[in-house]
Amino acid sequence: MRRDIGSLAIWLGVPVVMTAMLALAFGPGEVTPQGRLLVADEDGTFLSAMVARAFSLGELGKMIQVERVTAPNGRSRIGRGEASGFLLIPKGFAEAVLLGKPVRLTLLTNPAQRILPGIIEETLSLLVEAASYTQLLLGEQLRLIAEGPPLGAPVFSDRTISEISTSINRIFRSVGKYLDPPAIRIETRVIESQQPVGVGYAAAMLPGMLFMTVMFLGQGFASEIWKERLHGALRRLVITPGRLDGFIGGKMLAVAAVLVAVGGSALGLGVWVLGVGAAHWFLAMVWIVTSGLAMFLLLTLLQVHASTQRGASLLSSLVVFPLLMVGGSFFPFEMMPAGMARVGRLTPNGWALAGLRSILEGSPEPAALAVAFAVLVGVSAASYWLVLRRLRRSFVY
Amino acid sequence: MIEVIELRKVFGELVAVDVVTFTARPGELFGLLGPNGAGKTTTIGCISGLLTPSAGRVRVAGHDVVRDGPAARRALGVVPQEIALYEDLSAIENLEYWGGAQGLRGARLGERNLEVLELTGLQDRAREPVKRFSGGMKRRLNFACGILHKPRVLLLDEPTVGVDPQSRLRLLELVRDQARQGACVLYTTHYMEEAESLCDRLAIIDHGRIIAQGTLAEMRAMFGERDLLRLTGTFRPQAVREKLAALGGVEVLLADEGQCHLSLPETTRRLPEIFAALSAAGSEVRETKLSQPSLETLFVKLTGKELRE
Repeated sequence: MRRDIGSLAIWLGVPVVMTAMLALAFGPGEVTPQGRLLVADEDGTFLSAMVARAFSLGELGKMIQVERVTAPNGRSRIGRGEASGFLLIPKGFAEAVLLGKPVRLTLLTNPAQRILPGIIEETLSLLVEAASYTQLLLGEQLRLIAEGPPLGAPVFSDRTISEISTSINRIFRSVGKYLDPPAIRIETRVIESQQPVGVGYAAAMLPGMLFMTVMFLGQGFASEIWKERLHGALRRLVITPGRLDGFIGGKMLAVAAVLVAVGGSALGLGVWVLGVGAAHWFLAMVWIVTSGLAMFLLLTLLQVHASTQRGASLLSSLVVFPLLMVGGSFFPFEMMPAGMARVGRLTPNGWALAGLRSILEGSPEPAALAVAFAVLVGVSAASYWLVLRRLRRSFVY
Repeated sequence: MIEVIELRKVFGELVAVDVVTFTARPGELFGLLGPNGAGKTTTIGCISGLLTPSAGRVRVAGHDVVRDGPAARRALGVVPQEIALYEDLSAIENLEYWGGAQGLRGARLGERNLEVLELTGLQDRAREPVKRFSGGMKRRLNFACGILHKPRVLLLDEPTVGVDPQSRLRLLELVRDQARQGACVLYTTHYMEEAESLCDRLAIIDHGRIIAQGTLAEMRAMFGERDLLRLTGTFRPQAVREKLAALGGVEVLLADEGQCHLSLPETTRRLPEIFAALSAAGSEVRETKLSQPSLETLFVKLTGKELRE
C-alpha cells in the first residue's frame, strides 16, 4: 500500500474527476431542494383549496410540488418515504374556520428529510396563525356569513350585507394604523454569501464523493487478498504462529489509517473551501471510518467467496458500481426519482451516506445515531467472522 | 524430527495420500520424490498443518500438528515453491514482516535479519523493493524468510525451480548448512541430480503411496547392475511384451504405442537381439536412450514414468 501510490491515486482521483465532470455537466449553480407535498382535501371547499394552493405560490412553488391524493394513498406513500409531507384537510374545515370552531389539520412529515418538511411545517403554521387572527378580528361577520340567510329567505337582505360590509370596513379602519404602515419596522440587510461562486454542486456532492472514495478504497484493499493468495503469502502465513485474525485486524488498521487521512482531507476541503457545514466533525470522522471498515469487510467477504481472482474482480465491480449509482454518490438523492432515491437509501453506502449528511447538517438524534453505529459494528463483526471462517476453511488452500 | 505415521488424506472420493509412513531425523536431509499428482504436496500440506489428515499422525519436533499445532508451527520453517513475498516491499521489510509472523521481535529480529541477509548474499540490496530483484535473488530471499527463526524442522518445496545455476549452487549450500546446524530438512525436487547430491535419505511417492525408501546406496542396490533402455517410436505393446519375454533377462517396465522402457543387464552387448525382437513385433524405433543405474533409472523403474511427467 505504502509503495503502491498509483492505486491510491486512482482510488482518490476517480471520485474527484467524476464529481468535477458532473459539476460541469449540471452547471455551477446552487442546488434547490425538490420536494413533494401530498394533500388529501376531504373538505373540497374554496377555503381548503386555498390552503393547498398556498404551498405552490412564489418561491415555495419552485421547491415543493403539490400532489392531490386520497387519505389512504397519502398515508401509505408518506409511510414509504415517497414525499416530504402529507397534509390531510378534514371534511368541515371551511365551516369550522368560518364559525370559529376547533378543527384539526393533520400533517405527517418524512423524518428521512431535513429541510423541506421543516419548510412545509412552517408554512402551514403561518396559514393557521393567519386564519386564527382573521377569526379574532372578523369572527362575528364570518359566523353570520357561515350561518347563511335567515330561515325562509333565499339570500341575505341588502340591509344585512350592508351591515356586514360596514362593520368589516370599521374594523379595518381601526386596525389600519397598525397594519398600514405596519407597527413593526422590518429592517432588511443582505448578508453577502461567503460561499464561493460555482461550488454549489461540488459542496452538495462532497459526501457522495467521499463515499465513492470509501467504496473504491474498500474495493482496492479487499482485492489485495487475492494477490496474497496467489503468490503464496496466505499459505505461508497460516504455517507460521502468526494468526489470521491478526492479519485481517492489521488490514483493518491500515484501512482505518487511510480513511482518517482521506476523510480528514475531504472534511477540511468541505469546510474551508466549499463552505459545507460540519457541525460534528469528530463524529463525522468516526462515522466515515466505521462505515468504511464495514464496506471493506463486506467487500472482502465478496472477494473470498469468488472462485478466481478475475471472478472476484468482476463480482466486486458488478456490486460496487450499481451501488455507487443508486447510493447517492453519482447523483444526490434529491435529484433522483422518489422510488430510486428510496432504494438508494436502503443500499449500504446510501444508508451510510445519509447518516453522514445528517451528522454534517448537525441534526443527528442520539438514539438513532447509537442504533446506526450499533448496526455498523454488528455488520463489521459478522463480516469479519465470516471472512475468517472462509479463509480458514478453504480460501487459503 | 518429522514423524509421519500411516498418514492418509482423502478429498471426497480421491485418495491423495494413502498410508504414508516415514521419519526424518535432526541433521538429516530427507528427499521426497514423486511425479506431479503423486501426493508430495498433500503430504507436505499435512506436515505443515495446512491440511488436516484424514487418518494417521504427523509429529514435528515431537509436537502433533493437529493437537498441538501452535507448538509444531513454532518449530517449523517452510520455504514454499511460490515466491511468497511482498514485491512492493524491500527485502528487509519482508524479513521484518515474516519474522514478526514467526514471533520474532525487536533487537532479536534485527540481528536475525542481518544474519540471513548476509547468509543469502542480499545485504547490499536490503533496502530495494523485491520487484527489482532477479529470480535467483527472490528465491534466496524466499529461503531467508523461511529460516529467520532458526527452525528445527525445515520444509523445502522445490526451492530451486527457475533459478540460475549460480543461485542454485548457493541455495543448495545454504540447505546443507541448515542440516549441518542440526535442522531436520525435508526436501522435494524435480531435479534428480539435486536429490542425489543433497539428500541423505529418500522416499519415492507415487499414487499417494511410498514405493521405495532408504539411503541413496540402498536405492541403487534395489536396481542392481541393470541399465535402463528407453526407446521411442511406434510399438505394438502386446507383441513387444511377448517377443521380449522370450529373450530372457529383459524386464519391460513400460510399453505403449509411443514408448518402451526396458531394464536389462549388459545392454550394449544385447542391443542387436533387442532390436531384432522389436522388429519382429512390428515396431519401428526412432530414438534410443541408455542410462546407467541411478536414482532416475530407479524412479522410472518404480513409477513407470519420468519424474517431470
